Amino acid sequence: MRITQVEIVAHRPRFRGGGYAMSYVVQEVLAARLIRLTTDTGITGVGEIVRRPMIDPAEAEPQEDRVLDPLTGMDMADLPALVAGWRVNPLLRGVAFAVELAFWDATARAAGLPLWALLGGRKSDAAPAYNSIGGKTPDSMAAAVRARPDHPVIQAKLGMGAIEDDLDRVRAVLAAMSPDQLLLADFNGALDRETALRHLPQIQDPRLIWEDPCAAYEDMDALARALEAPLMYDMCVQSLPEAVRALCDGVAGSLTIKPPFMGGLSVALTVRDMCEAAGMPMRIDGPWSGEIAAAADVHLALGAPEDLLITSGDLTDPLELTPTLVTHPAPGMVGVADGTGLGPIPAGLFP
Amino acid sequence: MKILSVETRPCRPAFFGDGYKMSFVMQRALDHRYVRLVTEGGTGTGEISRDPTWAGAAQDAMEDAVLDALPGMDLADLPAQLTAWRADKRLTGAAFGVELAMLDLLSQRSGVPVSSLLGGPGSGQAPECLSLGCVAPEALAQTIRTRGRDYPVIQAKLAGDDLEQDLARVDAALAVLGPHQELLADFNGALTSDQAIPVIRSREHPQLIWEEPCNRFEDNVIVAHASRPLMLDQCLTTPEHFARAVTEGVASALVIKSDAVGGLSVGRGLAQMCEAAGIRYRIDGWWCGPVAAAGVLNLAIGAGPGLISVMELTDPIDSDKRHFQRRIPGHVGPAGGPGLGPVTQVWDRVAPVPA
Repeated sequence: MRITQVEIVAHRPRFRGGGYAMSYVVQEVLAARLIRLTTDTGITGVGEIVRRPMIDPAEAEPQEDRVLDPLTGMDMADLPALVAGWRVNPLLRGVAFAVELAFWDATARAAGLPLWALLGGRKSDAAPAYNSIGGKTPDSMAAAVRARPDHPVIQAKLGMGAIEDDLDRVRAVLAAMSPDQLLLADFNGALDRETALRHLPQIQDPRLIWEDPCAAYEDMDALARALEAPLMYDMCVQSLPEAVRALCDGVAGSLTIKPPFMGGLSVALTVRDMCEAAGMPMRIDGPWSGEIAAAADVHLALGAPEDLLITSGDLTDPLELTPTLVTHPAPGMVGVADGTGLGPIPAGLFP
Repeated sequence: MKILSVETRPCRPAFFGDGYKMSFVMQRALDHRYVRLVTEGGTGTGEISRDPTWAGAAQDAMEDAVLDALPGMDLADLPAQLTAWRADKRLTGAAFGVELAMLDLLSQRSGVPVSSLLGGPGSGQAPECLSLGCVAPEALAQTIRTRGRDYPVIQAKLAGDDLEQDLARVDAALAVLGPHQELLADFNGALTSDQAIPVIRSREHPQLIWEEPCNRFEDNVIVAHASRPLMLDQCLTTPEHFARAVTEGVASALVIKSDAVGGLSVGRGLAQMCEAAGIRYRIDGWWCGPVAAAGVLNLAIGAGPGLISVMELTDPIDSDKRHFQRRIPGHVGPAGGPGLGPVTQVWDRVAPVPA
């Protein structure tokens, strides 16, 4: 089966409310690209190039184009191995994710199956979603928690100012939460080890998980050994070797699995299954993205054991989008569209 | 897409000669089953490949009980069902066979070989291991000289009942190895840890890898800590064992038997984990018929640089041989797709078991 056409389309939805603030970046517009592969049998598959927010699209896109250009005329059977070679370059992991996703989507459509069936099946129809709250005042963050009481998990973005202010945000959010909600207090690696060790123990709450207080893996390990609270590892575990290391060290409280950063669903699938074998709690999501990438991440999440999946999410949530590939079957839950592959591709995404 | 029916046919080819001897079993013929998944959207073929000590009517009945529940199920729900089967060691062969049938079906519909669905290339060759049964030292050395020159890896089966004789086999094999060959000295779990430690300490050679001296994982851990890291094989019965083997530093290499762990998808994940952890590995399985052997080769050609070798798993068996190609000396790969390729035609040449 030969690839006869590769379409690449810029995808630039805006963030609601003027932007989304994290410790290291404020995103106002998503800079993604959609791809569609068409084969000589008429089967198509779609993917989405998602990059780390700090990667400059002007730097990444020429490199992506260089690897995408030769795809036309290639045998689909050769795509997975080709993509595996791209993953060694972090700048190409986003395009590796996208092309592999297009391969899986086409394969699933050809077979008449939903994408999750090719990812080991699903263990649930829907996954718990989190409510991510960008850095604001303590009162506004508490109000944002109360506004969406059905989300089982809250993520509070921190690390944009003084640590004391962040701790006030955490206290305010905890006060607004119900007893059965969980809080991911996410510093996005903004703290140094000493600051984290000195300040984080000030708040003890069984509903609290500290997410990425520090950026470096070694600092996270030192913190995890010193603090009694569980730590969620995110930015320091973005590849299969890093995930193996974290599982071997056995210190992390939980891992975040982001398929676009790992270079594809197949790598993320291995990490998901390794976490299951090791009994490691996990979150499966990705960076903010359009609905194609967002849906792919949920397809993977549906195959995680319910007792180990802390949360997944609708990664289009802060964007000015109304997705149809990602669904909300119940308040605080996220699912995927019925149909083959990723589901019916919305009109207008591709010319 | 609904599963309409699941059919099985016997896969019982004989081993060449008098059979194949390992420390725990003497195999003269396989007792596997081909399995065919018939769906609304096509047909896929697999092989239920079993631990050689699990055979016969009782094993058939156990597998039939779960196979009979599949008709009417949506194919999309099959992978999760197979995950549940894998929790029962006696059903890992069935999980492997049915998953292989599903992969064959899916890849046929996409027009690609199974290797692509496993993340690998559309075609290719992998370094091959020549496995030699337990024979006299001189005969072993002679076989390596005559048949084994091109193979990067030679596996010598050891008996475990006469350790002096086993060491003589190892010495004889090492003496005739080429400079770039490796020897796997495989006890198949025949020894106690007390027996294994002095044996392994007595021979240190850069081309020698000791494989599976003891049957139990915990005993191999003791041996590895007292002597040197080992290649671990049948004692790895669950993904948890693989994780421990990697984290506890007892393994110099791991053997990934996809049929023993319940499917090529599990094997693929384990191979990726080994690559990430920097642990070498061999991809093989139980001696099996051509359909299962084709599946294993489809996995192997997508492996990374940590792959030591793959086995052509019908090698000692008088069976259909259309599932592989040897294009490069000492290497082997699948015959090609779509799906598992022409090997699945073997189904039509086997009569079903009368009801």
